[in-house]
Amino acid sequence: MRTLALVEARLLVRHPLMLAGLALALLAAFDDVHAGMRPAFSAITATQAMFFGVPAFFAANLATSRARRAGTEELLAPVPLSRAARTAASCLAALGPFAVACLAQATALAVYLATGVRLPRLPTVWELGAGPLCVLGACLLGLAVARWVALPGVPLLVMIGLVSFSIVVNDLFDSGHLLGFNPEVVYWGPPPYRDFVGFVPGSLAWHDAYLLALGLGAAALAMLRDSSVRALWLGVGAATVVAAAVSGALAMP
Amino acid sequence: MIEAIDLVKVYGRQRALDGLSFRTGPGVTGLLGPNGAGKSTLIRTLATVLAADGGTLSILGRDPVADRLEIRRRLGYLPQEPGCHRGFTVFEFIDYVAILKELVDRRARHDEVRRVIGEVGLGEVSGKKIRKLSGGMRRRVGIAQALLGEPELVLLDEPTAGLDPEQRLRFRDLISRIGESRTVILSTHQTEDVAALCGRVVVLKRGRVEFEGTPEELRALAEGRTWLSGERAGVLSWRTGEGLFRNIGAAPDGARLVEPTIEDAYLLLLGEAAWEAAA
Repeated sequence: MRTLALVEARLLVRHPLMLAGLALALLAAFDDVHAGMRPAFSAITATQAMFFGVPAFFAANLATSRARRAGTEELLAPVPLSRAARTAASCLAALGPFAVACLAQATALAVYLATGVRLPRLPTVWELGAGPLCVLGACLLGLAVARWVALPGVPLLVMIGLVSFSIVVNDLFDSGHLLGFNPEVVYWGPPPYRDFVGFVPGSLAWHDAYLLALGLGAAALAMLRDSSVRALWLGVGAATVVAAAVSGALAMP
Repeated sequence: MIEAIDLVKVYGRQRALDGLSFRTGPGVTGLLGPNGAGKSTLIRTLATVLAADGGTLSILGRDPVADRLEIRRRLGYLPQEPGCHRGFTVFEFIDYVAILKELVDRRARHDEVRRVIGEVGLGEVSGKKIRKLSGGMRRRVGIAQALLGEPELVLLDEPTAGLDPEQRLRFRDLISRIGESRTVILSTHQTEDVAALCGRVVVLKRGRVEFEGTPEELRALAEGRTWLSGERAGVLSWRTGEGLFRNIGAAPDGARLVEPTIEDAYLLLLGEAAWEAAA
Protein backbone atom coordinates (compact mmCIF):
# COMPACT_ATOMS: atom_id res chain seq x y z
CA MET A 1 0.00 0.00 0.00
CA ARG A 2 2.94 2.33 0.70
CA THR A 3 4.18 1.96 -2.89
CA LEU A 4 0.72 2.71 -4.23
CA ALA A 5 0.39 5.72 -1.92
CA LEU A 6 3.68 7.11 -3.23
CA VAL A 7 2.60 6.60 -6.84
CA GLU A 8 -0.81 8.15 -6.20
CA ALA A 9 0.83 11.10 -4.41
CA ARG A 10 3.12 11.66 -7.38
CA LEU A 11 0.19 11.50 -9.80
CA LEU A 12 -1.84 13.87 -7.64
CA VAL A 13 0.94 16.42 -7.25
CA ARG A 14 1.57 16.36 -11.01
CA HIS A 15 -2.12 16.77 -11.85
CA PRO A 16 -2.62 19.87 -14.07
CA LEU A 17 -5.26 21.32 -11.73
CA MET A 18 -2.93 20.89 -8.78
CA LEU A 19 -0.09 22.64 -10.60
CA ALA A 20 -2.44 25.45 -11.63
CA GLY A 21 -3.62 25.77 -8.01
CA LEU A 22 -0.06 25.96 -6.74
CA ALA A 23 0.80 28.63 -9.29
CA LEU A 24 -2.30 30.62 -8.37
CA ALA A 25 -1.55 30.36 -4.64
CA LEU A 26 2.01 31.58 -5.16
CA LEU A 27 0.83 34.44 -7.37
CA ALA A 28 -1.76 35.41 -4.76
CA ALA A 29 0.86 35.25 -2.00
CA PHE A 30 2.87 37.98 -3.75
CA ASP A 31 0.02 39.99 -5.26
CA ASP A 32 -0.96 42.18 -2.31
CA VAL A 33 2.16 42.29 -0.18
CA HIS A 34 2.78 46.04 -0.42
CA ALA A 35 -0.82 47.14 0.17
CA GLY A 36 -0.36 47.14 3.92
CA MET A 37 0.59 44.90 6.81
CA ARG A 38 -2.75 43.18 7.07
CA PRO A 39 -3.05 42.28 3.34
CA ALA A 40 0.54 41.03 3.40
CA PHE A 41 -0.13 38.88 6.47
CA SER A 42 -3.35 37.56 4.91
CA ALA A 43 -1.58 36.81 1.64
CA ILE A 44 0.86 34.43 3.27
CA THR A 45 -1.49 32.82 5.77
CA ALA A 46 -4.87 32.67 4.02
CA THR A 47 -4.60 32.48 0.23
CA GLN A 48 -3.95 28.74 -0.06
CA ALA A 49 -7.44 27.79 1.11
CA MET A 50 -9.04 29.33 -1.93
CA PHE A 51 -6.41 29.29 -4.64
CA PHE A 52 -4.79 25.93 -3.88
CA GLY A 53 -7.53 24.18 -1.90
CA VAL A 54 -10.29 24.47 -4.50
CA PRO A 55 -8.20 23.10 -7.42
CA ALA A 56 -6.81 20.43 -5.07
CA PHE A 57 -10.36 19.29 -4.30
CA PHE A 58 -11.16 18.84 -7.99
CA ALA A 59 -7.77 17.28 -8.78
CA ALA A 60 -8.19 14.68 -6.02
CA ASN A 61 -11.73 13.99 -7.14
CA LEU A 62 -10.63 13.44 -10.73
CA ALA A 63 -7.65 11.31 -9.69
CA THR A 64 -9.80 9.11 -7.48
CA SER A 65 -12.51 8.67 -10.10
CA ARG A 66 -9.91 7.90 -12.78
CA ALA A 67 -10.66 4.17 -12.91
CA ARG A 68 -14.40 4.73 -13.09
CA ARG A 69 -14.11 7.32 -15.84
CA ALA A 70 -11.67 5.18 -17.85
CA GLY A 71 -13.79 2.04 -17.43
CA THR A 72 -10.96 0.11 -15.73
CA GLU A 73 -12.85 -0.78 -12.55
CA GLU A 74 -13.75 -4.22 -13.90
CA LEU A 75 -10.15 -4.85 -14.93
CA LEU A 76 -8.89 -3.83 -11.49
CA ALA A 77 -11.64 -5.62 -9.56
CA PRO A 78 -9.75 -8.90 -9.00
CA VAL A 79 -6.30 -7.46 -8.18
CA PRO A 80 -4.96 -8.60 -4.80
CA LEU A 81 -4.84 -5.07 -3.38
CA SER A 82 -8.39 -4.51 -2.19
CA ARG A 83 -10.47 -1.46 -2.97
CA ALA A 84 -10.29 -0.45 0.68
CA ALA A 85 -6.49 -0.61 0.56
CA ARG A 86 -6.54 1.49 -2.61
CA THR A 87 -8.75 4.07 -0.91
CA ALA A 88 -6.42 4.13 2.07
CA ALA A 89 -3.47 4.64 -0.29
CA SER A 90 -5.30 7.53 -1.95
CA CYS A 91 -5.92 9.08 1.48
CA LEU A 92 -2.22 8.82 2.30
CA ALA A 93 -1.43 10.29 -1.12
CA ALA A 94 -3.13 13.53 -0.04
CA LEU A 95 -0.03 14.10 2.09
CA GLY A 96 1.79 14.82 -1.20
CA PRO A 97 -0.11 18.06 -1.95
CA PHE A 98 0.04 18.88 1.77
CA ALA A 99 3.83 18.69 1.65
CA VAL A 100 3.91 20.81 -1.50
CA ALA A 101 1.67 23.39 0.19
CA CYS A 102 3.99 23.48 3.24
CA LEU A 103 6.96 23.97 0.92
CA ALA A 104 5.13 26.80 -0.87
CA GLN A 105 4.43 28.49 2.49
CA ALA A 106 8.06 28.19 3.53
CA THR A 107 9.20 29.55 0.18
CA ALA A 108 6.80 32.49 0.34
CA LEU A 109 7.89 33.35 3.88
CA ALA A 110 11.56 33.18 2.90
CA VAL A 111 10.91 35.52 -0.03
CA TYR A 112 8.94 37.89 2.26
CA LEU A 113 11.82 38.04 4.69
CA ALA A 114 14.43 38.39 1.97
CA THR A 115 12.58 41.21 0.21
CA GLY A 116 11.60 43.09 3.37
CA VAL A 117 7.84 42.76 3.15
CA ARG A 118 6.30 44.49 6.20
CA LEU A 119 4.28 42.22 8.48
CA PRO A 120 2.70 43.04 11.86
CA ARG A 121 4.77 40.13 13.19
CA LEU A 122 6.20 36.84 11.97
CA PRO A 123 3.40 34.31 11.38
CA THR A 124 3.40 31.34 13.74
CA VAL A 125 3.62 27.75 12.55
CA TRP A 126 -0.13 27.44 13.25
CA GLU A 127 -0.88 30.42 11.03
CA LEU A 128 1.32 29.09 8.25
CA GLY A 129 -0.11 25.57 8.67
CA ALA A 130 -3.75 26.52 8.13
CA GLY A 131 -3.36 26.79 4.33
CA PRO A 132 -1.68 23.40 3.85
CA LEU A 133 -4.27 21.82 6.16
CA CYS A 134 -7.00 23.27 3.94
CA VAL A 135 -5.27 21.69 0.94
CA LEU A 136 -5.05 18.34 2.75
CA GLY A 137 -8.71 18.50 3.73
CA ALA A 138 -9.74 19.53 0.23
CA CYS A 139 -7.93 16.51 -1.26
CA LEU A 140 -9.53 14.13 1.24
CA LEU A 141 -12.97 15.60 0.67
CA GLY A 142 -12.53 15.38 -3.12
CA LEU A 143 -11.56 11.74 -2.65
CA ALA A 144 -14.57 10.99 -0.42
CA VAL A 145 -16.96 12.61 -2.90
CA ALA A 146 -15.46 10.55 -5.74
CA ARG A 147 -15.84 7.34 -3.74
CA TRP A 148 -19.47 7.99 -2.80
CA VAL A 149 -20.98 9.74 -5.81
CA ALA A 150 -20.48 8.82 -9.46
CA LEU A 151 -22.46 11.72 -10.94
CA PRO A 152 -20.22 14.19 -12.76
CA GLY A 153 -21.75 17.47 -11.51
CA VAL A 154 -21.72 16.58 -7.83
CA PRO A 155 -18.15 17.74 -6.98
CA LEU A 156 -19.02 21.20 -8.32
CA LEU A 157 -22.19 21.29 -6.20
CA VAL A 158 -20.21 20.25 -3.14
CA MET A 159 -17.71 23.07 -3.73
CA ILE A 160 -20.50 25.60 -4.23
CA GLY A 161 -22.01 24.36 -0.97
CA LEU A 162 -18.69 24.74 0.85
CA VAL A 163 -18.12 28.27 -0.40
CA SER A 164 -21.72 29.20 0.48
CA PHE A 165 -21.23 27.77 3.95
CA SER A 166 -18.05 29.80 4.31
CA ILE A 167 -19.83 33.00 3.33
CA VAL A 168 -22.48 32.33 5.97
CA VAL A 169 -19.79 31.67 8.57
CA ASN A 170 -17.98 34.87 7.61
CA ASP A 171 -21.17 36.86 7.80
CA LEU A 172 -21.79 35.51 11.29
CA PHE A 173 -18.44 36.86 12.42
CA ASP A 174 -18.65 40.02 10.32
CA SER A 175 -15.08 39.72 9.07
CA GLY A 176 -15.87 40.83 5.54
CA HIS A 177 -13.95 37.96 3.90
CA LEU A 178 -14.90 34.84 2.06
CA LEU A 179 -13.99 31.29 3.09
CA GLY A 180 -14.72 30.43 6.71
CA PHE A 181 -12.05 27.75 6.57
CA ASN A 182 -9.49 30.54 6.49
CA PRO A 183 -7.77 31.78 9.60
CA GLU A 184 -9.36 35.15 8.79
CA VAL A 185 -12.43 34.52 10.93
CA VAL A 186 -10.30 33.52 13.85
CA TYR A 187 -7.75 36.21 14.34
CA TRP A 188 -8.50 39.51 12.68
CA GLY A 189 -10.00 42.55 14.24
CA PRO A 190 -12.93 44.37 12.62
CA PRO A 191 -12.73 46.11 9.21
CA PRO A 192 -11.44 48.28 7.50
CA TYR A 193 -9.73 45.47 5.63
CA ARG A 194 -6.49 47.11 4.63
CA ASP A 195 -5.67 48.71 7.97
CA PHE A 196 -3.98 46.73 10.66
CA VAL A 197 -6.17 47.16 13.71
CA GLY A 198 -4.83 44.29 15.71
CA PHE A 199 -5.41 40.59 16.14
CA VAL A 200 -8.39 39.22 18.04
CA PRO A 201 -7.79 36.44 20.58
CA GLY A 202 -8.93 33.49 18.47
CA SER A 203 -6.77 30.36 18.59
CA LEU A 204 -5.08 29.37 15.37
CA ALA A 205 -3.84 26.16 16.97
CA TRP A 206 -7.46 25.11 17.62
CA HIS A 207 -8.41 26.32 14.15
CA ASP A 208 -5.76 24.00 12.71
CA ALA A 209 -7.12 21.18 14.86
CA TYR A 210 -10.57 21.98 13.46
CA LEU A 211 -9.27 21.81 9.87
CA LEU A 212 -7.41 18.56 10.57
CA ALA A 213 -10.52 17.02 12.15
CA LEU A 214 -12.59 17.96 9.11
CA GLY A 215 -9.96 16.44 6.81
CA LEU A 216 -9.78 13.23 8.82
CA GLY A 217 -13.57 13.11 8.82
CA ALA A 218 -13.52 13.20 5.03
CA ALA A 219 -10.93 10.39 5.01
CA ALA A 220 -13.14 8.33 7.35
CA LEU A 221 -16.07 8.95 5.02
CA ALA A 222 -14.04 7.66 2.07
CA MET A 223 -12.93 4.56 4.01
CA LEU A 224 -16.49 3.93 5.14
CA ARG A 225 -17.45 3.37 1.50
CA ASP A 226 -15.02 0.55 0.81
CA SER A 227 -13.84 -0.98 4.05
CA SER A 228 -15.19 -4.25 5.37
CA VAL A 229 -14.89 -2.88 8.93
CA ARG A 230 -17.48 -0.16 8.55
CA ALA A 231 -18.16 0.11 12.27
CA LEU A 232 -14.56 1.21 12.78
CA TRP A 233 -14.82 4.01 10.24
CA LEU A 234 -18.22 5.05 11.51
CA GLY A 235 -16.61 5.40 14.93
CA VAL A 236 -13.65 7.33 13.54
CA GLY A 237 -16.01 9.57 11.59
CA ALA A 238 -18.11 10.28 14.67
CA ALA A 239 -14.96 11.08 16.66
CA THR A 240 -13.80 13.55 14.00
CA VAL A 241 -17.20 15.27 14.03
CA VAL A 242 -16.94 15.74 17.81
CA ALA A 243 -13.31 16.86 17.48
CA ALA A 244 -14.24 19.38 14.75
CA ALA A 245 -17.11 20.78 16.80
CA VAL A 246 -15.02 21.14 19.96
CA SER A 247 -11.92 22.55 18.26
CA GLY A 248 -14.04 24.85 16.08
CA ALA A 249 -15.72 26.28 19.18
CA LEU A 250 -12.38 26.67 20.98
CA ALA A 251 -10.88 28.44 17.95
CA MET A 252 -13.41 31.25 18.02
CA PRO A 253 -12.46 34.56 19.68
CA MET B 1 -7.37 -26.67 -11.81
CA ILE B 2 -10.99 -25.44 -12.14
CA GLU B 3 -13.97 -27.48 -11.08
CA ALA B 4 -17.53 -26.16 -11.06
CA ILE B 5 -20.45 -28.25 -9.84
CA ASP B 6 -24.05 -27.05 -10.16
CA LEU B 7 -22.98 -23.41 -10.17
CA VAL B 8 -25.84 -20.92 -9.83
CA LYS B 9 -25.81 -17.15 -10.25
CA VAL B 10 -29.06 -15.22 -10.15
CA TYR B 11 -29.74 -11.62 -11.20
CA GLY B 12 -33.25 -10.77 -10.05
CA ARG B 13 -35.47 -13.31 -11.80
CA GLN B 14 -32.85 -14.32 -14.34
CA ARG B 15 -30.60 -17.31 -13.70
CA ALA B 16 -27.37 -16.34 -15.49
CA LEU B 17 -25.76 -19.61 -14.35
CA ASP B 18 -28.27 -22.38 -13.89
CA GLY B 19 -26.63 -25.46 -12.43
CA LEU B 20 -23.51 -25.17 -14.55
CA SER B 21 -20.87 -27.88 -14.15
CA PHE B 22 -17.53 -28.28 -15.89
CA ARG B 23 -13.94 -29.11 -15.23
CA THR B 24 -10.77 -27.98 -16.93
CA GLY B 25 -7.00 -27.98 -16.55
CA PRO B 26 -3.84 -26.60 -18.20
CA GLY B 27 -4.02 -25.42 -21.81
CA VAL B 28 -6.53 -23.20 -23.57
CA THR B 29 -10.21 -23.86 -22.90
CA GLY B 30 -12.77 -22.04 -25.01
CA LEU B 31 -16.13 -20.89 -23.69
CA LEU B 32 -18.61 -20.65 -26.53
CA GLY B 33 -22.18 -19.49 -26.38
CA PRO B 34 -24.63 -16.92 -27.68
CA ASN B 35 -25.29 -13.61 -25.97
CA GLY B 36 -26.84 -14.16 -22.55
CA ALA B 37 -25.56 -17.73 -22.30
CA GLY B 38 -23.62 -16.89 -19.13
CA LYS B 39 -20.05 -16.70 -20.49
CA SER B 40 -19.16 -13.34 -18.96
CA THR B 41 -20.90 -14.22 -15.70
CA LEU B 42 -18.88 -17.43 -15.52
CA ILE B 43 -15.60 -15.61 -16.32
CA ARG B 44 -16.35 -12.95 -13.69
CA THR B 45 -17.16 -15.66 -11.16
CA LEU B 46 -13.88 -17.43 -11.95
CA ALA B 47 -12.11 -14.07 -11.57
CA THR B 48 -13.64 -13.77 -8.07
CA VAL B 49 -15.34 -10.53 -9.12
CA LEU B 50 -18.73 -12.19 -8.59
CA ALA B 51 -19.67 -14.73 -5.95
CA ALA B 52 -21.84 -17.67 -6.99
CA ASP B 53 -25.24 -17.95 -5.32
CA GLY B 54 -25.11 -21.73 -5.25
CA GLY B 55 -23.10 -24.80 -6.17
CA THR B 56 -19.47 -25.66 -5.60
CA LEU B 57 -16.50 -24.00 -7.22
CA SER B 58 -12.83 -24.76 -6.90
CA ILE B 59 -10.28 -22.48 -8.58
CA LEU B 60 -6.62 -23.52 -8.57
CA GLY B 61 -7.64 -26.06 -5.96
CA ARG B 62 -9.02 -23.39 -3.62
CA ASP B 63 -12.36 -22.07 -2.45
CA PRO B 64 -13.03 -18.64 -4.05
CA VAL B 65 -14.82 -17.37 -0.95
CA ALA B 66 -12.39 -18.48 1.75
CA ASP B 67 -9.19 -18.12 -0.31
CA ARG B 68 -10.13 -15.22 -2.57
CA LEU B 69 -6.91 -13.31 -2.01
CA GLU B 70 -4.74 -16.36 -2.65
CA ILE B 71 -6.59 -17.01 -5.93
CA ARG B 72 -6.33 -13.35 -6.95
CA ARG B 73 -2.57 -13.50 -6.51
CA ARG B 74 -2.41 -16.33 -9.04
CA LEU B 75 -4.76 -15.13 -11.76
CA GLY B 76 -4.72 -12.71 -14.67
CA TYR B 77 -7.95 -11.25 -15.99
CA LEU B 78 -8.91 -9.40 -19.14
CA PRO B 79 -12.56 -8.31 -19.04
CA GLN B 80 -14.71 -7.85 -22.10
CA GLU B 81 -14.31 -4.07 -22.01
CA PRO B 82 -11.07 -3.53 -20.15
CA GLY B 83 -10.64 0.24 -20.52
CA CYS B 84 -7.26 1.83 -19.86
CA HIS B 85 -6.11 5.02 -18.22
CA ARG B 86 -5.69 6.95 -21.43
CA GLY B 87 -3.45 9.64 -19.99
CA PHE B 88 -0.90 7.01 -18.88
CA THR B 89 1.83 5.64 -21.08
CA VAL B 90 1.77 1.88 -21.73
CA PHE B 91 4.60 1.40 -19.24
CA GLU B 92 2.98 3.59 -16.58
CA PHE B 93 -0.33 1.78 -16.83
CA ILE B 94 1.14 -1.72 -16.65
CA ASP B 95 3.39 -0.57 -13.81
CA TYR B 96 0.37 0.82 -11.98
CA VAL B 97 -1.47 -2.51 -12.31
CA ALA B 98 1.72 -4.31 -11.20
CA ILE B 99 1.68 -2.29 -7.98
CA LEU B 100 -1.95 -3.29 -7.44
CA LYS B 101 -0.82 -6.88 -7.97
CA GLU B 102 1.57 -6.46 -5.06
CA LEU B 103 4.78 -6.36 -7.08
CA VAL B 104 6.47 -4.03 -4.63
CA ASP B 105 10.19 -4.16 -5.38
CA ARG B 106 10.73 -1.39 -7.92
CA ARG B 107 13.51 -2.98 -9.96
CA ALA B 108 11.89 -6.43 -10.12
CA ARG B 109 8.54 -4.83 -10.95
CA HIS B 110 9.96 -2.78 -13.79
CA ASP B 111 11.69 -5.87 -15.19
CA GLU B 112 8.38 -7.73 -15.07
CA VAL B 113 6.56 -4.83 -16.73
CA ARG B 114 9.12 -4.76 -19.52
CA ARG B 115 8.80 -8.54 -19.89
CA VAL B 116 5.02 -8.56 -20.37
CA ILE B 117 5.16 -5.53 -22.67
CA GLY B 118 7.72 -7.41 -24.76
CA GLU B 119 5.61 -10.57 -24.65
CA VAL B 120 2.67 -8.79 -26.30
CA GLY B 121 4.92 -6.99 -28.77
CA LEU B 122 4.44 -3.45 -27.49
CA GLY B 123 8.08 -2.76 -26.62
CA GLU B 124 8.40 0.00 -29.19
CA VAL B 125 5.38 1.92 -27.92
CA SER B 126 5.88 1.44 -24.19
CA GLY B 127 6.51 5.18 -23.74
CA LYS B 128 3.48 6.18 -25.77
CA LYS B 129 0.24 7.47 -24.22
CA ILE B 130 -2.51 4.85 -24.35
CA ARG B 131 -4.90 7.35 -25.93
CA LYS B 132 -2.65 7.36 -29.01
CA LEU B 133 -2.77 3.58 -29.52
CA SER B 134 -5.05 1.68 -31.90
CA GLY B 135 -7.84 -0.55 -30.56
CA GLY B 136 -5.76 -3.68 -31.19
CA MET B 137 -2.79 -2.27 -29.32
CA ARG B 138 -5.01 -1.34 -26.38
CA ARG B 139 -6.26 -4.93 -26.29
CA ARG B 140 -2.65 -6.03 -26.12
CA VAL B 141 -2.10 -3.65 -23.21
CA GLY B 142 -5.03 -5.42 -21.54
CA ILE B 143 -3.45 -8.83 -22.18
CA ALA B 144 -0.07 -7.59 -20.94
CA GLN B 145 -1.50 -6.59 -17.57
CA ALA B 146 -3.22 -9.99 -17.34
CA LEU B 147 0.18 -11.69 -17.71
CA LEU B 148 1.85 -9.78 -14.87
CA GLY B 149 3.39 -12.05 -12.25
CA GLU B 150 3.14 -15.12 -14.50
CA PRO B 151 -0.33 -16.14 -13.30
CA GLU B 152 -1.27 -19.80 -13.31
CA LEU B 153 -4.78 -18.99 -14.51
CA VAL B 154 -5.51 -16.46 -17.27
CA LEU B 155 -9.12 -15.44 -17.94
CA LEU B 156 -9.80 -13.68 -21.23
CA ASP B 157 -13.31 -12.44 -21.98
CA GLU B 158 -13.77 -11.93 -25.73
CA PRO B 159 -10.21 -10.74 -26.33
CA THR B 160 -10.57 -10.77 -30.13
CA ALA B 161 -13.84 -8.82 -30.31
CA GLY B 162 -13.59 -5.93 -32.75
CA LEU B 163 -10.15 -6.81 -34.07
CA ASP B 164 -9.21 -7.02 -37.73
CA PRO B 165 -8.03 -10.40 -39.14
CA GLU B 166 -4.34 -9.57 -38.84
CA GLN B 167 -4.69 -8.53 -35.23
CA ARG B 168 -6.71 -11.66 -34.52
CA LEU B 169 -3.93 -13.80 -35.94
CA ARG B 170 -1.43 -12.06 -33.65
CA PHE B 171 -3.72 -12.70 -30.73
CA ARG B 172 -4.03 -16.35 -31.56
CA ASP B 173 -0.26 -16.66 -31.65
CA LEU B 174 0.04 -14.86 -28.34
CA ILE B 175 -2.72 -16.80 -26.59
CA SER B 176 -1.45 -20.15 -27.84
CA ARG B 177 1.98 -19.32 -26.43
CA ILE B 178 0.45 -18.34 -23.09
CA GLY B 179 -1.54 -21.58 -23.07
CA GLU B 180 1.61 -23.69 -23.38
CA SER B 181 2.46 -23.16 -19.74
CA ARG B 182 -0.76 -21.97 -18.06
CA THR B 183 -4.47 -22.53 -17.83
CA VAL B 184 -6.24 -20.11 -20.13
CA ILE B 185 -10.02 -19.71 -20.22
CA LEU B 186 -11.07 -17.91 -23.35
CA SER B 187 -14.63 -16.67 -23.69
CA THR B 188 -15.57 -15.95 -27.28
CA HIS B 189 -18.22 -15.80 -29.97
CA GLN B 190 -15.66 -16.80 -32.59
CA THR B 191 -15.74 -20.51 -33.40
CA GLU B 192 -12.64 -20.01 -35.57
CA ASP B 193 -10.70 -18.91 -32.52
CA VAL B 194 -11.80 -22.03 -30.66
CA ALA B 195 -10.82 -24.27 -33.57
CA ALA B 196 -7.44 -22.58 -33.86
CA LEU B 197 -6.52 -22.28 -30.19
CA CYS B 198 -8.39 -24.50 -27.79
CA GLY B 199 -7.64 -27.97 -26.57
CA ARG B 200 -11.03 -28.08 -24.92
CA VAL B 201 -14.31 -26.33 -25.53
CA VAL B 202 -17.30 -25.73 -23.28
CA VAL B 203 -20.52 -24.61 -24.97
CA LEU B 204 -22.96 -22.71 -22.78
CA LYS B 205 -26.66 -22.24 -23.35
CA ARG B 206 -28.94 -20.40 -20.95
CA GLY B 207 -26.52 -20.77 -18.06
CA ARG B 208 -25.90 -24.48 -18.49
CA VAL B 209 -23.20 -26.55 -20.16
CA GLU B 210 -24.55 -27.87 -23.45
CA PHE B 211 -21.33 -29.52 -24.55
CA GLU B 212 -17.91 -30.20 -23.07
CA GLY B 213 -15.08 -31.85 -25.00
CA THR B 214 -12.42 -31.25 -27.63
CA PRO B 215 -13.06 -29.05 -30.68
CA GLU B 216 -12.87 -32.19 -32.81
CA GLU B 217 -15.57 -33.86 -30.71
CA LEU B 218 -17.70 -30.75 -31.12
CA ARG B 219 -17.19 -30.77 -34.86
CA ALA B 220 -18.08 -34.46 -35.04
CA LEU B 221 -21.58 -33.64 -33.73
CA ALA B 222 -22.42 -32.23 -37.15
CA GLU B 223 -20.88 -35.16 -39.05
CA GLY B 224 -23.47 -36.48 -41.54
CA ARG B 225 -25.80 -33.61 -40.68
CA THR B 226 -24.38 -30.87 -42.88
CA TRP B 227 -25.22 -30.80 -46.56
CA LEU B 228 -25.63 -28.55 -49.59
CA SER B 229 -28.83 -28.23 -51.61
CA GLY B 230 -30.49 -26.00 -54.15
CA GLU B 231 -33.18 -24.94 -51.74
CA ARG B 232 -33.50 -24.16 -48.06
CA ALA B 233 -33.79 -27.28 -45.86
CA GLY B 234 -32.72 -28.59 -42.44
CA VAL B 235 -33.06 -26.99 -39.02
CA LEU B 236 -30.77 -24.11 -40.02
CA SER B 237 -29.71 -23.11 -43.51
CA TRP B 238 -28.14 -20.20 -45.33
CA ARG B 239 -27.16 -19.33 -48.88
CA THR B 240 -23.46 -19.73 -49.66
CA GLY B 241 -21.39 -17.73 -52.13
CA GLU B 242 -21.96 -20.37 -54.83
CA GLY B 243 -25.73 -19.89 -54.64
CA LEU B 244 -26.34 -23.20 -52.84
CA PHE B 245 -27.86 -23.53 -49.39
CA ARG B 246 -25.77 -24.96 -46.59
CA ASN B 247 -28.11 -26.89 -44.32
CA ILE B 248 -27.68 -28.30 -40.85
CA GLY B 249 -29.95 -30.87 -39.28
CA ALA B 250 -31.16 -34.36 -40.10
CA ALA B 251 -29.97 -34.89 -43.68
CA PRO B 252 -32.43 -36.44 -46.16
CA ASP B 253 -31.49 -39.57 -48.13
CA GLY B 254 -29.07 -38.83 -50.96
CA ALA B 255 -28.15 -35.43 -49.57
CA ARG B 256 -24.86 -33.92 -50.74
CA LEU B 257 -23.04 -34.17 -47.41
CA VAL B 258 -20.07 -31.92 -46.74
CA GLU B 259 -17.35 -31.79 -44.13
CA PRO B 260 -18.79 -29.90 -41.13
CA THR B 261 -16.98 -27.14 -39.29
CA ILE B 262 -17.04 -26.34 -35.59
CA GLU B 263 -19.41 -23.52 -36.41
CA ASP B 264 -21.85 -25.98 -38.02
CA ALA B 265 -21.77 -28.13 -34.91
CA TYR B 266 -22.12 -25.10 -32.64
CA LEU B 267 -25.14 -23.86 -34.58
CA LEU B 268 -26.66 -27.32 -34.60
CA LEU B 269 -26.12 -27.66 -30.88
CA LEU B 270 -27.67 -24.36 -29.96
CA GLY B 271 -30.31 -24.18 -32.67
CA GLU B 272 -32.28 -20.97 -32.85
CA ALA B 273 -30.50 -19.22 -29.98
CA ALA B 274 -27.16 -19.43 -31.80
CA TRP B 275 -28.79 -18.59 -35.09
CA GLU B 276 -30.18 -15.38 -33.63
CA ALA B 277 -26.82 -14.57 -32.06
CA ALA B 278 -24.99 -15.23 -35.34
CA ALA B 279 -27.47 -13.06 -37.24
